[in-house]
Amino acid sequence: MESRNLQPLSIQGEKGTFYVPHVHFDAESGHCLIEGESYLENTWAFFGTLLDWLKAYAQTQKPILFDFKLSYFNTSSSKGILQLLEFLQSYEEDGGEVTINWYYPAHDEDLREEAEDFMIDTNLTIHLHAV
Amino acid sequence: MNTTLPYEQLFIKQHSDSLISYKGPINPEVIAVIISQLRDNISTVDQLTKRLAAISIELTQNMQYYSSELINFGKRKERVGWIQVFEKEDTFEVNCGNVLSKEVVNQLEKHCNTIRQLDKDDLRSLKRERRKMKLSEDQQGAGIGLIQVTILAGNAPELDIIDINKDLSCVIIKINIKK
Repeated sequence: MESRNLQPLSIQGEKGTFYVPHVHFDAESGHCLIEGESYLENTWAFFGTLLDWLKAYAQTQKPILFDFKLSYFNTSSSKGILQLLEFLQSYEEDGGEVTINWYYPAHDEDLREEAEDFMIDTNLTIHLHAV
Repeated sequence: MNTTLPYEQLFIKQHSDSLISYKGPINPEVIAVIISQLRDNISTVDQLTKRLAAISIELTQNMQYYSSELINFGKRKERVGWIQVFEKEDTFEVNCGNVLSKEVVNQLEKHCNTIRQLDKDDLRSLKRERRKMKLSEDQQGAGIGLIQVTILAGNAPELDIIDINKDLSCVIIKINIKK
């Protein structure tokens, strides 16, 4: 499958009743970004959309660079994030090239610990960046 | 359901000096207002405000999912609960309450007893273990809210259970968040 057949996935971030993170997944570059806060009306459908796009992209067997720049997510969203990471783990185990960056505010030890827990869960290397 | 449940009387007695105080239908719009008011009312370091907001979201979402008391709200039936947040010298105190079936109360008591015995590393381990579990079809949350609340607060929740009848109890959850 060629990456040009796969459309980028863009979701505009919103802060209203719910907090929708900004998402941009680019099939040409393999760069995937999720940024902002995540407290969603339908968490499973939201992360299902992201996971479906990643599965389609994985057909290209091209590298993935995934940047997490989340400043808050609730526990339901954390399960969605784990599902994304578990897929990236399986992609890597199947020979795919995966790079994951996790950006967090320097004072926010809670967000750093979340990333550490995801590393334990998945055995993935997640590069931590205090900003 | 009648309007003189024990938790309502308790709410009326205690609400005077709270940072926020709410009782009524719990839905996403209400949760958004509660969080917004919390963020507006607290002038403290970012990390603590984030923790307090995160804890309040998890506790109110639990009431939204599990409360057994329903009220007609517009054309919808909404689940009912209450939440109060107090600022003390060394802590913030979050109290919330709702009516639960005794089956749910039993599960909650066991869960809290487990949580109470764990240190932070063990809580993180339990959270990872539960987060990996497959969700049941009708499950709305990840099932790790109270564990996360305890990790963020640095304290386990205290439960106060008041029997209403053979099927229902009023459950008050109190948690202190270290400043």
